[in-house]
Amino acid sequence: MEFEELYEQYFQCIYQFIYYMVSDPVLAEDLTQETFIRVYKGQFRNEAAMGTYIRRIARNLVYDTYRKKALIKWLPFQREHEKRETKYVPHDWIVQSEERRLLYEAIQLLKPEYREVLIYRKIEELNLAETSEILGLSTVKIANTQRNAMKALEKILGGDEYGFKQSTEGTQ
Amino acid sequence: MDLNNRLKELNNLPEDQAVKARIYEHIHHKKRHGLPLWQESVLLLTIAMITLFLILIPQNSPPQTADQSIQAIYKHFGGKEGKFLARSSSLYISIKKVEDTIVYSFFEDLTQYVEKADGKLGSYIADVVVVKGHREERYQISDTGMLNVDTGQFFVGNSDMYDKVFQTLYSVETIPWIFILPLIVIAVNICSTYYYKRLNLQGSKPSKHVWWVLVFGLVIISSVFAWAIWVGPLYKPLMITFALLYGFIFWNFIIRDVQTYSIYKVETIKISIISAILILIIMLY
Repeated sequence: MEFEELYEQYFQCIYQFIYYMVSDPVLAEDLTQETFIRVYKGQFRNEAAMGTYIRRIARNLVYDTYRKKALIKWLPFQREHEKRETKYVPHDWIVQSEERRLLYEAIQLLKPEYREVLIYRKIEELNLAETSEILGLSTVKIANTQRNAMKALEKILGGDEYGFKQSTEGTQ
Repeated sequence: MDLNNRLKELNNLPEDQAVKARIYEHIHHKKRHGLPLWQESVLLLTIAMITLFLILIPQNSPPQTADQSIQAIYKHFGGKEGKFLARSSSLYISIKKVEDTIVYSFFEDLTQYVEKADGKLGSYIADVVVVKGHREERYQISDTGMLNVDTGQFFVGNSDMYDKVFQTLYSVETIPWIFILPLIVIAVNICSTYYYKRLNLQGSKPSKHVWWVLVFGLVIISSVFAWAIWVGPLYKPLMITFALLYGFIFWNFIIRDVQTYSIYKVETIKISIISAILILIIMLY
């Protein structure tokens, strides 16, 4: 498949995934660009489906960012997007609806492992096998993480400790 | 609305055409260049220069004063005639500072315990550096006599005091800590394998070229240790720098192939433990 086709097909899902994981449009843009640069440089080894391969790159870049920010700020050779501080900037489309904004902000409060499983399984609606291949985890582990993530999300949406007043009645 | 449907709705984030076009444009204009590799080479060169500088510093002679008391005595176990390996700092591998007061008394006034004579060093030799009046005096002491390396004067030791001093200086105090390292490596690998099995995780499989780089790094580290053991004492900070560098390179290569965060954490802990043990071993030698 040509790069142009790949870019056309996967740009949106990759950008969306990264954006939901980092909540910063500038950083999301940089990481999306880095993802496609790596795809462009062509290290695809046919070990997985192209979609899985691109998603893995994006995911690794997101975790690289988390890791480098949290643990190894002092390390040399940081790329521009790695040096930048992340700031929370909700997308216009998200703030247009109060319900959507509350849900989005609740997702941001989840730990990354939960957040990514919810993005893949509940937002993008990938099946267990695809998610398992991207994350390198067993389907049982993914199912357990998904269940725990949903519980945590419901708790955040229903509790007052985070300032959310949204009722969870409709989510049961 | 049901939570599942509300989550599904988040999949409709509008496509930002400006961002899409900007990224596409940038990818097509981006030239491949080896800047990171170049930067890494510059860093390695800088580290090499700094360590070279650190090696040279301790060799500078300290200022001379009229004080003739002994400031310190250092020894290196197992020397060879005509090859002096001791250094006036315990920051070198296999160099130990002598704390025994008998040895200090002996070197305060040698003439009481030894006689100038012609002779040859015995089979069992220890190298000694005596820092006296801020000047270094270098001796090779053996079972039959001792040699002042700087003046070439040979002394025959025939007193009980000489025997005691020789026994103290020739004694081995170093435990071969380096043999602990393979055990630690095996232990941490067993633990991580068990952990991966328990969580049903598939361990990372770095690509071939990564293994070659790691083997090359290991050869360099082994050569440095071999040099320190068989050729001459090496400056500990230099070896610690190498150990840290190896840990960093190892970690940097491994994480590029790691697919899951749990494996990343385990691998990082593993590399940290091994590097820390390696540094501890260097410090203990």
